[in-house]
Amino acid sequence: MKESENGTVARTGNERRWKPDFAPAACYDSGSMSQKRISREQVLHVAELARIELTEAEQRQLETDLSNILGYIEKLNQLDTSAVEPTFQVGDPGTPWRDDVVTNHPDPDAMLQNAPAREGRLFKVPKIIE
Amino acid sequence: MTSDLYKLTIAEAHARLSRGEISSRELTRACLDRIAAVDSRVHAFLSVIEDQALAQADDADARLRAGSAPTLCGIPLGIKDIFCTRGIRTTCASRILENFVPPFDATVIERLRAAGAVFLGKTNMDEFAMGSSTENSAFGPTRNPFDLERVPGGSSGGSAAAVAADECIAALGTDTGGSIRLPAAFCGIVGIKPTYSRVSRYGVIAYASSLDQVGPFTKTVRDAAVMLHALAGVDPRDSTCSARSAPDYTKALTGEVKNLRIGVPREYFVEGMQPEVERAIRAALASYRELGAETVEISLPHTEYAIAAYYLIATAEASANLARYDGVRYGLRVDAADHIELYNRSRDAGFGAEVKRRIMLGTFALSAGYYDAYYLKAQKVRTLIRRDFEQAFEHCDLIATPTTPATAFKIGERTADPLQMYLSDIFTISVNLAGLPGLAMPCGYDDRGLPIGLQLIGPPFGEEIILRAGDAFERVFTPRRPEL
Repeated sequence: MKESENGTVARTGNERRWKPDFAPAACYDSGSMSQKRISREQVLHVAELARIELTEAEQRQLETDLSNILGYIEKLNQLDTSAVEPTFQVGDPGTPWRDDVVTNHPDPDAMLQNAPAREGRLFKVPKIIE
Repeated sequence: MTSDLYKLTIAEAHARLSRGEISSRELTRACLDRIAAVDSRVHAFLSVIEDQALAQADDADARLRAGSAPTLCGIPLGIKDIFCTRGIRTTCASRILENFVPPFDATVIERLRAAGAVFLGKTNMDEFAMGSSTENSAFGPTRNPFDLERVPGGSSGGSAAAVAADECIAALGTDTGGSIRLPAAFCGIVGIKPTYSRVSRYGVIAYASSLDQVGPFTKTVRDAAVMLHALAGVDPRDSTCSARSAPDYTKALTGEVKNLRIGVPREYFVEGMQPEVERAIRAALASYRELGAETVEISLPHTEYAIAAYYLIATAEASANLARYDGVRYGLRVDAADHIELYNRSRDAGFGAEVKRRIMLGTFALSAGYYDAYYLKAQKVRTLIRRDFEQAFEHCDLIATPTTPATAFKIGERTADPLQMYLSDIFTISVNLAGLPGLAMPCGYDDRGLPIGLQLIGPPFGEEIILRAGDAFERVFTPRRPEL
């Protein structure tokens, strides 16, 4: 279909204009606990996996935010992808080769200059093994 | 005496530098003075490195006097604070990297140094490039030079605002879901996200590795071609970087668009979009027809699923990339009795709310029992989005769309609801998922005088065609400069 001379697209009349469904009421009801898609226990479990300590206020906020975002993401289930292969990578990546030679000569002081704590030429951390 | 040399484009500055009419020191001084005059209001820069910039300018002047210097020699640039710069603090606008000084340069920084470019300083951004407004910076928001009450877009908002406010001649940014094109549109300048793998990401702090790309902000399309030529090309240190050599993109700028087929996706004119945006895009398409191009309606039917797929893929990749910030080797450390507590407390203190939200969402999407339902599902939808473009490019040479459904919003207007903020990227995100090149450039102004952005999307490695089309439009459209 070509665009007409005055710049408006010729429409058949039955085309739908989709409306981005971001209005809070359209994709979730943040006031209802039955709409929660992620529980406080799950938030704490994920925080443990991600190694982030969360305050009580942060936990509460994330319970709401993640539930809302996951509610929106459920729209992906409208699509049947049973016969579709996943795309993990795009573009033009090859497998580059280079000569097996050292290009970055060891410089411990340069590498340690950003260490939060060091002892001599080592990173200093809390005791891990008793 | 104040000079208005900061208003120059790269092409104009290069012509005057190579004729010896001006020096890089004068040009650099003019930009530094401009920063001093306006940046307290705009807050585009996180750091300004005056002494180093002037030393680089003097080196450039010596090369210019010797003759035949590259086009970027002596040109003052702003650098998004996501690029590692040797000896220059690089924060990614995060508390966790507040005092990080990289011991090495990113490949693109090395290339710009080799070309003789001058670095004025590091520009503001959303923390770890996560955001659409630059309000997620740990060091305060950047303001839009066209209206200081409004956002410049994000995540590369500092770079975009710095170019729009004439604080630098051009700037460097990154784009994972629209982080170059959205701020370019909101600030009324040119920005290009190249094809995935076109530009090396070595030394660029990673957000979502299957989506991140590096690109320039400039005042003209010609300048974008000059910058891209300097940035693009093979890099053995980035295994995802394409082995194709980069062409001289300025050679593509013929001004000729006759018989070019421009696809117009019907899904990019959504209900609720700002009427002035649709009018400006339609007017730009009419200009292209007058120049001899043909416009054809196309369909990208999976457009409405792009944001949902993106926020699973990008956050999953981010949760893995940001695992490196553990308070041990560099970055913020909050001391604790054992190492797990040290990780937990350092990351809680160092990351802002949006970064935590995305790490949490991504960790959840990758966690046992949810991987197939969320992460794998999103990667399959990504295939559908990629195929939409492949089919569309059978009917057209490039695609033209609005860059955003509306012009710049007010600071604070969307911070309460993360989903509303994510909506800003609705027309840019698909391009990253498909790995395509996208150019944003000004094509009009709304009733408040805020810039409207045209987006030109090319097939893989089709940078030349979108630059050619953008340059042809620029010859018939005069952009405005903000009053500051």
